[in-house]
This record gives sequence, C-alpha cells and structure tokens, in this order.
Amino acid sequence: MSREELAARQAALLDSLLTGSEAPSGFDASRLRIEADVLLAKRRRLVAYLRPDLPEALGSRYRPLFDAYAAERPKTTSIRAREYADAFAEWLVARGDLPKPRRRWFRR
Amino acid sequence: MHEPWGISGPQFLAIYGAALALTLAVQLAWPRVGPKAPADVHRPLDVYQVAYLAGGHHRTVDTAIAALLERGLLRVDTKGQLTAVSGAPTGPVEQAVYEAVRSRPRTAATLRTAEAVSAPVRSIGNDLRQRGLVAVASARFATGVVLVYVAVLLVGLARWANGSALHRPTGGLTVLLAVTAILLVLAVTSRKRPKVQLTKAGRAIVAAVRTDPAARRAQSGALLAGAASLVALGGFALYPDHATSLALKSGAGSSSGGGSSCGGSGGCGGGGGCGG
Amino acid sequence: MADRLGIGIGWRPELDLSIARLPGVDWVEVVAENLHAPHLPESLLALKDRGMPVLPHAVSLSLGGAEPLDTARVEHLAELARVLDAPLASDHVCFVRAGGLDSGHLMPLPRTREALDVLVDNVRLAQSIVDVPLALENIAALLEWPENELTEEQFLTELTERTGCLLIIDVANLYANARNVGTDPVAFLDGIPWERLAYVHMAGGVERDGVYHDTHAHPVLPEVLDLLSELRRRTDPPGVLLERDDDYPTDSELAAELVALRTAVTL
Repeated sequence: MSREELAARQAALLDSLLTGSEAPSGFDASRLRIEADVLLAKRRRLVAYLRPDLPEALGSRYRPLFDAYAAERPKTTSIRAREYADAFAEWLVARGDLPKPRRRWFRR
Repeated sequence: MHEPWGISGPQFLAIYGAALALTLAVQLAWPRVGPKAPADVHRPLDVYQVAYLAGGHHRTVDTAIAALLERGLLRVDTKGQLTAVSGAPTGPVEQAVYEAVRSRPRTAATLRTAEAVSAPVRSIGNDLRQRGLVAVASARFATGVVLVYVAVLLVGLARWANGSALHRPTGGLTVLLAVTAILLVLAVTSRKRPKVQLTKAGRAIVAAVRTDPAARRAQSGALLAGAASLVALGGFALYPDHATSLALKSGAGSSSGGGSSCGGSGGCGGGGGCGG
Repeated sequence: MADRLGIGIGWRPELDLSIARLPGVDWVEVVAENLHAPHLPESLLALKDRGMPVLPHAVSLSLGGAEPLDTARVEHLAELARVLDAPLASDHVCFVRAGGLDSGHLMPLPRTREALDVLVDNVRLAQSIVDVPLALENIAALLEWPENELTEEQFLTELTERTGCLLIIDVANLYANARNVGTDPVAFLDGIPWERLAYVHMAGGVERDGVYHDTHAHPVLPEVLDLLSELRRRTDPPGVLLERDDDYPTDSELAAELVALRTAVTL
C-alpha cells in the first residue's frame, strides 16, 4: 500500500464515520457504528463547552439538533473548533431554532 | 384664546410636574414610612437571611456560592469561573445557584444577575419584610408605581400630541416626558431587585451579629463558623481561604463575562481532547 | 531519558486552583492546542515559577496521517516546549485528519510496514522542528484496520528504534484495547522497550454495552490500577500522570486517585 493509497483509506474511513458514507472494505460494521457515535458525542461536548449558551437555550433539543447539524456538515480541516461552534449557532438561527442573537458581539 | 383641555400650557406643566414629583416621593418614601409588620426579632435567622440583611441580593447569592464551595459542591478556578462538582444543595438559594452552574459554568457576577437565582432571593426579602426587618417595597407596591408612571406618561403624551397638532410650544413638556420615561424604566428595573432598606430592628440585628458572638450564637448554628457566614457578613473578601477569596473576587468583577475559560483564537481541542 | 517526574496531573483551566494546592502533585501536563505561548494562564506560570515541570502534550499533529504534516502545529508545540522549559513534548500514535475532514478524536493507524514508514517520516520531520525529545503515546482504539500485520508492541518498538522517540504508555488505553480489540496486555507489557519510556498515563473510563470507553470523566478502574502494578514489575516509570477531562470530582477524590497511583508504583 503506497502513501497515496493509505491516504485514501484514511480519508474513506473518516468520511464513513463522519458523514455516514459507505464503509471502507474490511472494517467491522458494528464497531464503525460505535466509533461514529463516539466521534459525534465528542464533537457535541466540545461545541457545548465552547458555546455553553447553546445547550442552555436549547435544553433537550440540543442533542438532536446538533446531531442533525453534524451529519449535514462534518467538521472540516479548514475551520477552527470555535468557528464550527459559531457556525452551528448560525445554522440554528437560520432554521429558526434560536432567536437572532442580541448582545453577543459585545461579549466577545 | 381657547386653551386645550381648558388649561394653559404653564398650568399643565405645573400640574404634570407635581404629579410626577408626588409619585417619585411616594415611591421612595413609602417603604420607610408606610405601614410595616411589627419587628419580629426573636425567631433566629438563617445564614441567607443574615446575608440579605447585611448586603442585599448580591450578598445572598455570594453566600450560597461560598456555602457550596466550602462543601465541595462547586469548584472555582483562578478567574472566578465556577463549575459544578456533585452533591445535594440544601435550601432554595443554594439549589438555584447550583443548578444554574450545572447547566453552564458561570462567575459570581453572572449568578448575581441570573433570573433563576433571583426568585428565591426575592422570597427571602419578602419573608424579612414580613418580619419587619427590611423595608423593601412589596412586589404589588412596585407594580403599582410602574402603573402610575405609565398613566402619567400617557396623559403627558396625549397633551403633547394635542399641543403639537395645534402648533403650541411643547419644549418644556418634552423634557418632562423624557424624565417620566427614565423614571418608568428605573421603576421597572428596580422591581426585579429592589433596593434593600433595613428597618431599625433589622439594622440592630446586623450590628449585633457583626460585633457580638453571643448574638451570633443566638441566630442559627450555621452562623457560628464557616465560610458562608463570614461571606454573609463581609462578602467574598472574608472567604477564609485567601486564593479562593481572590478567585471569587475576580469572578465578581464586572469585566468577567462567563463563558468558556479556554483561550483566544480557538485552540480548545483542535484535534479533540486527549488520550483517545 | 527524561528526568524523574513523579506523580502528575493533567492541568485544566477549571482545575487550576485545585491543582495549585492538591497534595502530591509533582508535575503537570498541558494540552498544547488549548494554550498560546504569548498568553499562558497566570495560574500555570505560577506553577512553573514554583519549579513544577510543565510538559506540553499535543493532540492534533496527526503524525500517522498519510497527508503532508501540518508543520505549523508542530511549531506551536515546539514554541510551547520552549516557553515552558519542558524536558520533552508529546503527541499520539494516530491520525486525526484525512481527506479534508477533522475527526476531532485520535484515530488508530493500520499497523502495516507502509503506515509505519509514513509515521516514521512524519516523526522525523517533527523531531527536526521540536528541540526537546519527542514522546509518542499509544491510543485507545475502538476499531481495528483489517490490514494489520504487526502487534501494537511491535509497531511501537519499531517506531522508537527507527526514530529515537520516547514512549508514553497509557495504561488505561492498554486496558481499553485489551477489552475492545483483543490486545494481549501481558504480551504488550513484555514487548515494550522500557528504556524508552518517558512516562505513564492513567485515566478513568466506563463500560457501556460491552465496550469500554476511555472517557477521562470517570474514576480510574481497579483493573487499570492492577495493570499499572503489572507494568511496575517490569520497570520503574519516571512519571505517572492522571488525566481527568470532564465531570471533575472533588479535590479530595482527585487527591485520593493520586495517592492510589503513587501507591501502585511504590514498591
């Protein structure tokens, strides 16, 4: 396996775990599911840590909404963790799940 | 010349100004001079009631923070950010503070103004008013004041609109309307966290508890010792552990915004947590 | 070889006041990505001024990634090691980015010769940037690559032989791999070149639906402490570090965990 082939295998694995695309050959499907859940939960916690106002405002809706967002937009390498959390907030506002922010710009 | 409403401009201004002044005077003086409950100084007070007497709303919240820290239910970092640990808080103020921190790390400054925390503190104020120890206006009185300001403002606005339509001078009235609007806003905001004025009996209790160990003993046992009772009487500066005291004070400063404590431009687990 | 470190704890901003007065903390480790060299937290600098070693630990270098190494991240780690006067710096044997996606988590590598070659190249490049010794840590894997041909201990041994890097052995991760992907913990402990050991990581976790999760949010399991004692029969680790990243317990519970670690490595 060349470096390029390894890169492709690694990319296919992440793509499958983060977007639910078809699993690369040879992996145990149940383990892929568990790993995908772990990655999602970790990202969900990190976003809650960076933007505690979001779980506070959403309550029990935070989890399903974040999971829907993450499936639609997995975190790419071109965006920082905080930008990703802020983008989730904008996505919530755009969908009408959160009111438009009022004083946020002062506070940061 | 036909005067609108049969009153000349200067006459209306005088009447309007007097109504405004009277409302303000009643608003400020009523808690002191109005009827109040006879002072009940025999039932012992708990640490939160003493905190309320000694330092009002903020001090009561601060005391709950100190109590929770001392018992290990909360943790504070050096910037004053509080995080929940675990355990069962006792009493409504502690409960409200603990739940607020558990839902999201906060500083003392943000807890003092948190809506969820202010309800149990207000009810302590009401209880002390019924005991005749504080002269805080009741919620009904505060609402009444707001309604009177609204009524005064509406009459003034009607007169102003009428005057403008008739091309009369309205400069003086405009100024008074602005003053009314400001007083209305102040009345609305102070309704949530009313300024605490102690009655004579209330002042006597605070003075005694501050200076006299016997008086302290006469109150609840919790007042004998402990970080909460020290903070109740003297604020975060008296928290017995120096580092904790400094941390709490930095979290109580107005500059602290709460939120996450992780630094500037978005490091925070770039690759995610650690250890795998 | 690093100097003797003793018992340490993962420094987190929420714990800074607790760590400053916990008894039995000889050193701390910081997550490199959460710090910026020009604005280090005052409470961390205070520990350093007290003479406490502060070691940066990175989670995002993606040294096992087959794409070109992001050297800016390595330079960040190098700068932190410099300003902290750290005796060594570290990351993991894993990848975190591929195909433009960021897993946000430490992903296992296929244990093949080719993957080892990629890792060795990246580690050598990182070593040329970081001017203190680089240590690499075994991770907890939930899945295995079908193309694996080496055991984990063989893979780590070859890695340190070819690059001269040090190893951080995470005993909780070893336990997790024994539980989840069938690693033989005794063979692992027998196969590690202990003279390359920088220090040991310990952490708590929890079992859910038959899978052990290395959460860093639960107490250290007795089974993991037993594995640490097993490790101690083979070597006297220069340092042992407790990692706790979430659901922080009381100061006294943290202190008790540190005592348990010290007891396990004290003969």
